[in-house]
Amino acid sequence: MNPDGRAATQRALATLLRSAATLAGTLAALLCVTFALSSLSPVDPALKLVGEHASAATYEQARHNMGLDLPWPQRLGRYAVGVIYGDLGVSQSTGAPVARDLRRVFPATLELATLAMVVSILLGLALAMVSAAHPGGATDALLRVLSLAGNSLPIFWLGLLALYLFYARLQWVGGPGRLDDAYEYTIDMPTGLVLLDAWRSGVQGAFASAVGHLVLPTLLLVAYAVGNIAQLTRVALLTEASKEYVLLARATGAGRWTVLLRHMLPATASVVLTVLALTYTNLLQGAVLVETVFARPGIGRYLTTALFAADTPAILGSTLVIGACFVLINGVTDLLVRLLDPRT
Amino acid sequence: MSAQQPHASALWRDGSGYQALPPSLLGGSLLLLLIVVPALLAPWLSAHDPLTQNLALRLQPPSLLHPCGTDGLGRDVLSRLLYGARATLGLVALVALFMVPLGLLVGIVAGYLGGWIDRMLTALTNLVMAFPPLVLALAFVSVLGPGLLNCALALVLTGWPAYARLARAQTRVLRQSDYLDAARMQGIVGVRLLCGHVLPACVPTLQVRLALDLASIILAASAFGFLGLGVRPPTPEWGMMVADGSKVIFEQWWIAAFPGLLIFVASLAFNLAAEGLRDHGDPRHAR
Repeated sequence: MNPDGRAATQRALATLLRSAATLAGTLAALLCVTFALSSLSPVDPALKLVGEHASAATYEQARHNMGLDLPWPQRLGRYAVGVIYGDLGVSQSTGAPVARDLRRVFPATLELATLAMVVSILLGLALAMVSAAHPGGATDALLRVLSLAGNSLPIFWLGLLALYLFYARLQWVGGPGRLDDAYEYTIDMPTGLVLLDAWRSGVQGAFASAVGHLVLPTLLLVAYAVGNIAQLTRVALLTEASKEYVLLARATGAGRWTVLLRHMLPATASVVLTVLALTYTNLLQGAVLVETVFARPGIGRYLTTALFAADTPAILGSTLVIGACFVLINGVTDLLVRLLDPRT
Repeated sequence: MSAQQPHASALWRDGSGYQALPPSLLGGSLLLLLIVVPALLAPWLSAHDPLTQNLALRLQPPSLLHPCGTDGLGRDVLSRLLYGARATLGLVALVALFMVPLGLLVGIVAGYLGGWIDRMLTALTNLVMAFPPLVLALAFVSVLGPGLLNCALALVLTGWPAYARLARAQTRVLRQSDYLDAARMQGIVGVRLLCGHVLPACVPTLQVRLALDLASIILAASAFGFLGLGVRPPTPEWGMMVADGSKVIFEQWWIAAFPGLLIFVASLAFNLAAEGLRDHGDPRHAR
């Protein structure tokens, strides 16, 4: 290997290590935040467990068993070790370990957010390219309206109105829930991904029902994401448009769309990547409200149900999982952008 | 750097300094007035008491007597909308009042002092920015107990890093400038230098950011209300009114529709204003 190549590999390795360290530090800080929240909570878990009328000795015993009488550094240590081994405590409302509950509900959220993500990317990039190819055209105006609306409309309200219009009035789509009641209790959900499970169940009409219930929430999330993806990509593309290599490519006779697809889009890869990561994290957060409105079992609905019940372990467990996804997506994107563009 | 240009050009052009406000800024401000003024005049404008229940007249469709209908407890929706604006606008004002100074303080101190203080504060800023703001704020409010103050605190604690980053970047640019040296030569140092000379330079970029943030804070605050974490009932609040209306959305859709529309208008007002401020204040965006 030539010395130049070795230096580049070393630099990449150093970037990788630095990113990994930052990621680990951020995750540890997230753990500290949820721990601090659990300690600040005015709800006394030991009291909640033994009840108001328990004797002082029973209460002390419960406190001791739960490790609440230890000094806080030891409690943090126990909490961290527990989380690393997948122990997030026991939900006070479902009575099951929070980690097991989350494993059951998380795939549904991932399915919804990923589906919305794929549709938004395709639509967003297409709109951005059309708009960049014809600056000042009608697509520009459409994008502006889309991103203004996406940034101003309360998603839970738009979801309700969409349910009223498309389900109650027009009956184009399925209503609340992930399946019609006839299928909800008859097919099993081994993976938790509704589309996959409904397909594999082989039950007549189950898959169509799953699709019918998924269309509206997905489109709702897409409507929010697509404006921002397109707008930011468009700006990046227009910045590239004034560079000399574009002029050169055009001068060699390449068509506008060839230059856009083959030269400019790859050049904006790092911007697009950042936009996509931002969108995905926003979609994960948006899914919390959308799942609540559409009564779809997922981590968002699990979290909001826990909010109503003041179920601290479930709230903090969900927060930790969503937070970890957030941190991981951002960390990996950051790393990819650095590796793609050695200047940064 | 670019932040100073509008000031400089305004001074240079002196007299012809009047610039037409961009339509989006004008539109946003008008929409905002349309919400703020009725909220202030709520006691005089509302024909009914927002808390008086009348179960005989529950779930009425819009009529002359009740222009927006009545809710599930027979309360006049229009009066509740007028009073509900106060909770939302109050929360937004409270958040802005604490979030911006906190962010500015962290950013200016980090940028001006540099060294290990800068590294520590920047690491802290990046750390908070890496967390999911809405979910963390939700967890914070639900664990510490619902209420307006806890909502505001949660939004301040998750919102300040953007301002710190902004202020730090601007301060770093200014730190070695002739402009600050000139001020120092006149004996202006310490807090007076930071407040009188560094802070104003941060304002143009900051006001765009703030307008954008206020739009999303309105959405977050109404989401808190929708999830039952905001002000306690029976005090009216838009997000909570949407949640009340969601129970009867298939029969009486208007109960959820009106408060949501106002949330949209309020948020749109700030988004439009942000767009206008950006075009107005930053010559790079002007056409």
